[in-house]
Amino acid sequence: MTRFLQLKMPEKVVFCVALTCLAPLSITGAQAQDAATAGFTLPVDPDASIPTYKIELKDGALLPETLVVPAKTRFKLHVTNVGTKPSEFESNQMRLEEVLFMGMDATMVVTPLDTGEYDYFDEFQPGVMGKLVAKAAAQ
Amino acid sequence: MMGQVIFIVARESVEALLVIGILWAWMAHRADARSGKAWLLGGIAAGFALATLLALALVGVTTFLGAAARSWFEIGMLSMAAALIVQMVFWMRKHGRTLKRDMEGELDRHAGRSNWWGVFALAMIAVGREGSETVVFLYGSFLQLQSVASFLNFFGSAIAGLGIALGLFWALQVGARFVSWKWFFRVTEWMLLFLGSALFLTAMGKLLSKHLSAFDLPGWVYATVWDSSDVLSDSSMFGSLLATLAAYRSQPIVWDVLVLALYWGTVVALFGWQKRRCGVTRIAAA
Repeated sequence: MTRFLQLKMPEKVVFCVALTCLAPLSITGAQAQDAATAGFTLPVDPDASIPTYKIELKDGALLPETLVVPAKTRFKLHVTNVGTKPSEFESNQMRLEEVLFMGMDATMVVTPLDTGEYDYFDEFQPGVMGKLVAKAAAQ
Repeated sequence: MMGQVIFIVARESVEALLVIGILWAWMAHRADARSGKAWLLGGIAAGFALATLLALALVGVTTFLGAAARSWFEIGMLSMAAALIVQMVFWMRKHGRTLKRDMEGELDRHAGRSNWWGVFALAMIAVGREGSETVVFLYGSFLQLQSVASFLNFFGSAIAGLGIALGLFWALQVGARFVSWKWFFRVTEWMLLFLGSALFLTAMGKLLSKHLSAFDLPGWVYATVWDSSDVLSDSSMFGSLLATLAAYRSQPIVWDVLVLALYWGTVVALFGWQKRRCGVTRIAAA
């Protein structure tokens, strides 16, 4: 920043213009990289204003069993029952409950979460416990 | 697989059978028990119809309302059930304690009739909501069956699951007979009030995440108040039962706490008002 202030006016203008042109490219690239490097799960659509994460329920198995999402940010879960039995996606801690017949899917909005761990599971096929980790995004 | 059928059916029926069991036992202590039980049975039958209708929508056979309308419907059902529970306990506190004497006046009989509609609606919602999930589960599992043996095994398991839940109903009837009415009422009214709080909390949770999610509420609304998931997680077997029956949450947010405060605040205010008013009438009568 101090180096930027030391620049002369025309140089400042050129620098700013270049920065604004490159910004969209670099931010998308940086976000994806940040998500990967900081250990966050990649959303299905990285460009959407509200990120969506995918969960598949398959006869008692949860795919994936762990999700890492940024804390204090609203996001969506797109849950699909790809198995051969009915399932009920549930999480008391995230206030979610959705009965899903075979082949059905649902998108649920999760309200901003504090940092911490939250369970999700298939109530019709108990046993496996999924874990959603809400982590503070690196500044 | 079959152990799972027993478990799921028992778990899904517990809530409905708790409500029905308590109402049934309360009826036995009333002079007009017969008509009351008829209303209750009618409500249960209507509940099965509702469960089937909801299940058809969940399975995707019919498009009974859209997804958004259906969730409003569910919020409405849950809130109404909570309100009916509070109203029922309120009414029983007034009439149940004095028992058989007070249904003599014409006015009381009229009040009784509107209360029967409440019994009917409460039984219908209790059976219909959880019942729809059980129907989806059983129907989906049923489709997987291959042999006659698995067929029999499946039905046996479903009936065993229902039998376990019916054990609760039976225990309540036995309790009503052997425990003094005063104590039985005192315990069961609290059970119902807690169940009401759980229903209301679920309703408001759905409201927050399904219909208010588009709005930017202040951040503190979503702040976690405490985290007791290490002690008793509401995802564990006992914890989730406690969540269903008594609104237990191991990671509640401020919203949840406000909702419960609103519920219990209303209950306390209502019963306080009733107590004061009854006190006044008693003095007036004396």
